[in-house]
This record gives sequence, structure tokens and C-alpha cells, in this order.
Amino acid sequence: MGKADFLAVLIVLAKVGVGLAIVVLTLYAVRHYGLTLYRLSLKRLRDTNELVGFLTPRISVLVPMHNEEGVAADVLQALVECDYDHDRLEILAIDDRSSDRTGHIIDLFAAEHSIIKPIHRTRGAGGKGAALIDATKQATGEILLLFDADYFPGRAMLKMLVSPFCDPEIGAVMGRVVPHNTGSTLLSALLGLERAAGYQISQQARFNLGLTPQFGGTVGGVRVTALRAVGGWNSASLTEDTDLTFRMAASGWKIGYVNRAECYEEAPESWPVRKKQIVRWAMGHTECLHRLGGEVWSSRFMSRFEKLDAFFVLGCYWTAPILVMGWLASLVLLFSLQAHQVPIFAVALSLVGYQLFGSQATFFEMGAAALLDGKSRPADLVPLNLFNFFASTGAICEALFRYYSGRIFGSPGPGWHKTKRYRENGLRNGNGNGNGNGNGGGHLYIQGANGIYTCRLEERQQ
Amino acid sequence: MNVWETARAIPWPFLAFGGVMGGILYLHFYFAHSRWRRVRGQQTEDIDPSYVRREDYFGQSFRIKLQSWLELPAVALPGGGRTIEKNGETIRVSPALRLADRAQSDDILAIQEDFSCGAASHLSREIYAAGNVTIGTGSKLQALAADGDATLASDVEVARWVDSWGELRLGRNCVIHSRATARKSIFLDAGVQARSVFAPEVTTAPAAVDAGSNPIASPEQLLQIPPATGADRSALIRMGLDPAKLMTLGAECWIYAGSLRPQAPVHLTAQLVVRGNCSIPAGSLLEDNLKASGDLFIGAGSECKGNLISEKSLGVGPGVHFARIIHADGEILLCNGVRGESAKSPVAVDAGSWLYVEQGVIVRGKLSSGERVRVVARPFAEAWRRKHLPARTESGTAK
Repeated sequence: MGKADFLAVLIVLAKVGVGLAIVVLTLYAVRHYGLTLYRLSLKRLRDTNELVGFLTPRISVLVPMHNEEGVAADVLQALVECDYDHDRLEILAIDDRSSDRTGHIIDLFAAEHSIIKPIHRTRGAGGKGAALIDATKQATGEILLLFDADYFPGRAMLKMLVSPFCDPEIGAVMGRVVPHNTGSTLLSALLGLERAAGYQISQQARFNLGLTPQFGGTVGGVRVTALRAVGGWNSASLTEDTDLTFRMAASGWKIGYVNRAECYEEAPESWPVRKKQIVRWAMGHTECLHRLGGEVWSSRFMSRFEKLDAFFVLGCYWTAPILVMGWLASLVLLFSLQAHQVPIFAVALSLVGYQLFGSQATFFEMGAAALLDGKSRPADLVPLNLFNFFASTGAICEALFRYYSGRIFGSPGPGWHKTKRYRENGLRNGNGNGNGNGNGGGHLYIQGANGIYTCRLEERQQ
Repeated sequence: MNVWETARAIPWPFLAFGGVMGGILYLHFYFAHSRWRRVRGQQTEDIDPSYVRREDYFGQSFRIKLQSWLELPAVALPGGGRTIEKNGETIRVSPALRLADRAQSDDILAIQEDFSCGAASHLSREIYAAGNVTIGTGSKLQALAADGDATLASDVEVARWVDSWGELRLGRNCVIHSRATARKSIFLDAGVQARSVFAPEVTTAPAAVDAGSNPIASPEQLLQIPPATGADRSALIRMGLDPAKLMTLGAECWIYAGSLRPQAPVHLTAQLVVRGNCSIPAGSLLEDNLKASGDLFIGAGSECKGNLISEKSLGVGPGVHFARIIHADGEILLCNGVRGESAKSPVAVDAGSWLYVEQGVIVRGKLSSGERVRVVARPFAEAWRRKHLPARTESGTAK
């Protein structure tokens, strides 16, 4: 092949690449705009808020913890203080092979509160999925509610998450995650905006439209019979929540969403931590796309729109490499003076131009979410999300490269790992300062929104 | 090349365009960055983790706030009582108070005994009474908290909420724009509207026509869903149940793929999700949860021990007994003689849109609506049924 032939082939490939990028990104942009405009137009949210407290089945709250001594007391104390009838509540605090004092803290709480049942895992596979499998075997509730250790559920949270289960078709329910450390770093502030868009706009709009909101594996609940019907937790999946969502949807169960069930979490504050998180999500999501795509496609229970939306969700991480491919292809066409060769895409190009470089549709979604939440000030930060966007794009491309090279060459994936916690001495107050006092005469004092939590920790100094 | 020629050679329009674009890009980030410098270090305080849902929240909250206001410095009034000034508002504290017809007040009223006002009164701020309260016909209120019984005559309009620690009676065509709550009971006369109603017992005015008795059919007349193993398939189809459309969703939960209109009373023994409209004949026994993705209608005299859920409209026929939750994304109609009660806990009826309640209904728990709960007469209820539901015979089976 001569140089001219090579260039001709390259230009053809570049045109195909640009065309593909434009089509895919336009579809995603239309979806983002559509969901956002639909959510903004909603006068009434689909919810069961008025039924909170009228449905109180026996429930089991599962809290998997791996080296969580800095936050374990917070979440356990918050759960104990929830206004759910203690006769119908058990809290399964899972010490998943911790090497710190997590197990000790759990035992202390269990000694004081009979509803807390400690589970100490010292053997077997690690990771959240494996921990959930063990805990589910011991759970006695009809509904399992899940919280990660860095979450801080409010007093009404359990009743809020349970109320949608009055609908027998609901297999899982997702609440809303709100980062409490949005003032710590620019990254956590931007992730706060991203979370708001994902929950306030996307999840709520999809729930109202009868599509499939995503069960996130924390601040959520699962009906035990539904979980059993779809084969239980998949500990092999890096994103067992996504896996469960689409196995349930394909099997006929619906996923509920409760926007009012807001729960504080810790967002990553540094890029290395965020990168690990997003790499795991991208690989897990894409693995679910390959494993469950056929199941979703052939499901006799899902409507066409549900299936289409499911593929948008499962394939969302594919947009990053397609975007990069579009950039590279555009450069090839630009320097080969062939850019004018795709006039039929001129309008589309101008429409998605900003999408290509700034993901404007998702930014629009963020701004809309901030406005719906009544937070116009943080919405001003949206332009800075461009940096988050570029960094995420790189991380996702790397994740998919690792995923596909792993599939081809059989190399292992990244494995499950715990996201770093920043709250080592108690929940931060409104000033952003950790104000717990871990050195007070053998007592750990944790300032929560409900007052001073006291967890007696003998020999704290050790 | 002289300076002039050099200047002419410079692509000024391009430079100007580049400068403008650069400026826009700079401002794009400048404003965002300056905002970040201002909000940095401020953690979110959006969630109140101590929030607990209470049905009588407004009344409770007002009473607590009023207690703190009553401790502020006061000015004694000549005829007894006192006034308290608070941020430009006046709180009028008095013993028993009776206002004449067409009374007007812009003060917060804190009455230490009984309170009454005549017809067409206009009380634009909250009222608290430690005793019983009587509000005259056609009056307009902001909100009312009564530690005793409260009686609102006909055509009273309350801009916000009403909370009584005793019995609450709402006269004909009263409108409560927010919640009505009581610790003993609430009586709703014809035409009453409220956003939600909660009490140990909520009743509507007795109907002119009794719902009549419609007992549960005998076991051999009942169509069991899911059918027993080995049930005659053709007989099931004749009775309106196609076994081919019935499949398991999970343990004790079934899906029926299509609309379901059985020709015989139903005995539901497991959770059922109908992907379509569902019309349950009169005299059915529903022992578990029933959901329809379309309209759902429960025939007269049926007994419902599980939840009833509809993604569209839901009609509950005359004399139906239910014991748990009724929820629809659309409208709900509770016909004459419906009883909602459970020995274990309060029941709830919640509509995403309007909740129409016919006369002669008793619900021990809550009625709530995305629009309004409205007490309607028989003709309205019949028109609603004609509009939303397939024509049915008196026995409840489809024509």
C-alpha cells in the first residue's frame, strides 16, 4: 500500500469515526436534554412520600465495613436512632476482614443495642458483594436496606426507603446520595453537582417515565424474594449494584426511586481516589453491558423504551473512547483538508461541537439540578467541570483499555477496593472541620447532626 | 514594507475574533473560579438528619413556636388578655374569645379557652385555642390548632392546615388547602376538599343510599389466582383467566401479561401484578397485594387484605373492606360504604391525582392526594366509574 492509499484509507476511517462520534454523542445529548427538560416540566413527582410510616415490614439493614474505624460509629449510631420500630429492625454490621478497630467498634455497639448483629468475616472472598452474600444468608427481614459505612442516614431514612415496597412489582429502591464534603476540594464540589444531576434529574425523570432508575448498592433497599428470584448478589461483578439492577429489570422487577430519601456520603476529594472509583465503575458497567446485554435485549418484561434506556445506561462509559476517537478523527480530517467532506453533518457538528469539548448536555443537566435543589451558587461552578470531564474521559479510556485487554489476554481486573475515607475523626460540621475528639480519656466523641454520639472505646490510644 | 503596510498585513478581524473568544473563555472560567473561592470550605447543609415525618407536623410545630413566643414581653389589655409584638407581628393572647359575624383580624390569636367566630369572618393569621373551636359559615382562616374539638361550618376556607387534638368536623364545601389532622376523628361533609386528612377515624357523611351487603362468594364460586396445580385450563379461560399469561415473578409473586377481567369472584392467594387493566368482580377475596399497570377496579363487597396499587386510576367499589395501603399514580374513587381499617396499624389511601371519596366511607388512617381529597355525591361517583372503568353488571362482572 502506497502512501497515498494509506492516506485515503485513513481519511475514510476518520470520516467514519467522526460520523460515529457525532451520532453516538448526539443520541446521548438528546437523551440528556430530553430527561432534563422532562424533569423541569414535571409538576408532580412520582413518589410514595405520603405513605411513609404506613408500611413497616421486618427489615434488615446491611452495613459492609472494611477498615472503617473512622466512620463506623457514625453510621451505626445514626441507624440505631432511626425512627423505625426496633421490633421489626435488625442491623447487620459486617466486619469484612478489617485489620483496624472496626470489628471492635461493631462489638461495642452490639453490646449496647440488641438490634445490631455483628458479622465478622475473616475468610473467604473479599469485597462488598461477598460480604453482602454472607449477610443476606443471616438476614431475617423481608426487605434488605444497604448503607456503606461512610453514609449518614437521617432518622426517617428507613421508613422512606421502605414505603415504595408497597408495590409488589418493586424489587429494589434507590434513595438519593448527597455529598456532605462539597466544600473540601474543587473535585468534591464538582462531584456534588454531578451527583445532583444524576439523582435529581436523571433518576427521577426515568422513574417518572417508567424506565429503570439505577439501584446504587447503598442508600437503597432490595426485596429479598426478588433478590432470590434473580439469583442473589453477584460477588464477581465490580458493580454488583448495576448488575442487580439490570438482572431485576430483565426478570420483570421494577426499580423505585425516592428523591426525598437523601443521605449524606463522602465524595472523593483527590484525583487518585476518584480515578480508582471511576475505573472500577467503568469496568464493572461495561462488564455488565457484555454479560447482561443479551438478557436485557430479549427480556419479555421490558418495553422497547426501557431496553433502549438500559443500553444507554450500560453503554455510557463507551462514550469516552468514542469521544476521543472523534477528536483524533477530526484532527486527521482537519490537517488533510477533508473536513468539508462531511457537509451533511454540518448542522450536527455545530450542535455537538460543544458536546465534544465540554459535554454541554450533561452540564445543562447539572445546572438544572442545582436550580431544582435551590442551589444557584454551586451551579456557577459548572464551567470548571470541564477539567473533571477531561480527567474522567482519560480515566474511562484507560479503564476500558484494561477491561478489553483483560478479556483478550486474560489479565485480571483491578479487583474490588475500598474508596478512601476522609472523615477519620467524626462527621464534619457545617464549617468543614472534623470536630470529633478521639483522644478524650478512652472515649470517642463524634459530633453528628443529632448531637454528641459517644462510643466508649477502651484503650483508644492503642 | 513600512509600518502602514505591515499593519494592513495583520489579520485584524481574526485577531479581534480570537481576542473576543479568548475573553469569553477567560470569563467562562473566571466567574466560576471566583465563585469557587467564595464557597470553598462551606460544607453542604441541605439535609436535616433529625427529620421525622409526622402527620400533624404543622400543628405541632406551630404550638412549639407559639410557646416560645408567649414568653416574650407582653402588654396587658384592659379587658383581659395581652398582646405580644414579634418582628412586626402581633400575637393576641386572650381567655375565651367569641368574635361576631364578619370579624376581621390580622393578629396571631392564642386563645387560652374556647374560641368561636361568626359567619364570613376573615382571620388572616394562625389561630391556637386551648379549648374547643367553632368557625362560622363562609369564614376564611390561615391555619388553626385546637387542643379541643374543632367544628368548621359550611364553606369555610383554610389557606393552610387544621389540627385538632379532639374531633374535627368539616362542614359542607369546606376547603383546606393543606393538611387536616385530628387525634380522635375527622368528619367530612359533602363537598369538603383537603390536601390530606389523617385521624384514627375519618368518616364522610352518611350516604342517602346504603351500599348494601355484598358478601364474599362461597369458596367453590371463587376463581383462585394463582390457580391450583391441575386446574382445568379451558374452565379458567371461560372464567376470564388465561393461564398462559400467568407467570411467576418471584416466590409468591405473579405477573399476568395482559388485562385481567375475571368473570367470577376472585380468591387471590399470592401477590399479583397485572400488566394492563384489571377489574376484580364483586365479592372477591384478595389475601395479598394486587397491582395493575393500568386502571384497577375492585368490585363491591370485596375484602382486600393486601395493598392495592395502580399506575393509573383505581376504583374501590361499594362496601369494599381494605386493611392496608391503596395507592394510584392517577385518580382514586372510594365508593359508598368502603371501610379501611386494620387492628395492627393505620391504613392509607394515596392518589397521585384527585382522591374522590363518596359519602358513607370510613377510613381509620390517612387520605392524601397530589391534588385534593374531595367528598363527592353518588352521581359524581357513577360518572367517574363510567369514565374510567368498563361497563359492568351489578354483580361486578364485565358486560
